Amino acid sequence: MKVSRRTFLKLSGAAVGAAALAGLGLDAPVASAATPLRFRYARETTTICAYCGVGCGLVVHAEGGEVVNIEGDPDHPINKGALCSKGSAMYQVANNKLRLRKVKYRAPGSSRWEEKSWDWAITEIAARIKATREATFVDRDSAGRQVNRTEGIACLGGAALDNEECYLHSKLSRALGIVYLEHQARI
Amino acid sequence: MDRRYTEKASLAELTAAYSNTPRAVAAPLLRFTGELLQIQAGWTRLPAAEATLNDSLSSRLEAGEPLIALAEIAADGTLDLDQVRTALASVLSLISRWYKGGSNGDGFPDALTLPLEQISSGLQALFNRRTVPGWVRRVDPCLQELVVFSLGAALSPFVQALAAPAAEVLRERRYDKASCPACGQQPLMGMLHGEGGVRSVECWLCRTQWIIPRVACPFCCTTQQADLRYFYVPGREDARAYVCGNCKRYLKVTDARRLGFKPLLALEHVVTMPLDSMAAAEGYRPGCAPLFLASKF
Repeated sequence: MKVSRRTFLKLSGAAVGAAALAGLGLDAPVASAATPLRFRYARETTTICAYCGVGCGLVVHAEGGEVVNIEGDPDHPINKGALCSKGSAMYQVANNKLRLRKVKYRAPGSSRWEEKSWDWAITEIAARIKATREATFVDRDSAGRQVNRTEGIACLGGAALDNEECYLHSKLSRALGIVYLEHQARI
Repeated sequence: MDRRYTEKASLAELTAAYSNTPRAVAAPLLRFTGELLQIQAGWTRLPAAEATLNDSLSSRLEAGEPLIALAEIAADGTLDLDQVRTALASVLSLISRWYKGGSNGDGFPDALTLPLEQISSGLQALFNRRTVPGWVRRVDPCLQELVVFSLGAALSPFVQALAAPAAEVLRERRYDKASCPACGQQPLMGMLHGEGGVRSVECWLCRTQWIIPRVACPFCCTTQQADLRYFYVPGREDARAYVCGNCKRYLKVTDARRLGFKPLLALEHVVTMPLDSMAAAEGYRPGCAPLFLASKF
């Protein structure tokens, strides 16, 4: 990046104006100090901590789409910038060489993990839900009342689910007839 | 303010501390600013109409009205123009010692011989950003901006004194408006401080500090995060410039959590001036209205 002395003088600081700097002979050192410096852009985005149901606010710093820092959001009414020890370590959720980036599958009875595609995993989950639901579906209870439920599947949500996600989680589960349902976002 | 920060004993010590760090890219400018602040500090200790803020603070803030009506204080007697004239003489004396364009400050007006009406018209021009009054225009064009700058510098301690009763309250308050809650002017510089990283800004004129939202433009108030970025120099992460793609203005912010002492934002503004030129090269203009740029009059 190169900044001409003229550009600097035209648009530099407000407290001491351009001509004032020049008149005092103080403009050249500042302009020359700026010229060799390179800078980086970053962006701050607010979000919610994914760990528990308290829902602390976070400010995520990203450069070129890569997370470079995460800190508490000082404007968030719940945590006002503070974070617990887990929240303070949120950065490593995004940047961690141990983080799984591909689907791993261990077949029943197997002792080893296999790498699978997302398409395979989603199709397999859907097929197994369908098969289990059909095998365990109860349309009437012992008293003859219609219940339309499956007792072969349980569904566990996550503490960080927001209202809308809990609604979808609940709606999908009830549509399938799942009664062992726990959204877990209740702290 | 976070008690972790070391309080420097005096302005001189603080200026020296800034001069002795790698951030001191403009040591002479730091010295000049330090001397100017010393002059201003002498005047802020004056009991200048300190009890003018009797109105309900909350109601005026909620109405978005600054607590001090700058356009009126020069005319209604709140401001002691005799004192301003004496302060202006001190500031002009300092500038004449530093001025490189002439010898012994040739061409500077003698503030002590200026009629009060001229002082008043100069201040009105500052407040309203009207054309430079005639007596300033008669000064050598090269010096005009310095004279206008001197007017602002001479006025600042008196507005600081007027704002002082409210400043202690405002320091802890969040205020989302784009101008100073005390005097209506723009913030010159900001800082991140406290363990939570609260973002505060400081008015160029009355030095009042107030808290602004962390992810929002302090000038156009947009909260569209796609428009909001900041840039910094790698290795010097203690300062950054927040830029707004919506209004194309920027705010320099120093991260006091990294400094280890309570920063004086007037000096932070000086040591971070390279960020100004970078922002200019990127097409952004300072959010603080360039009050002293002669081209704006």
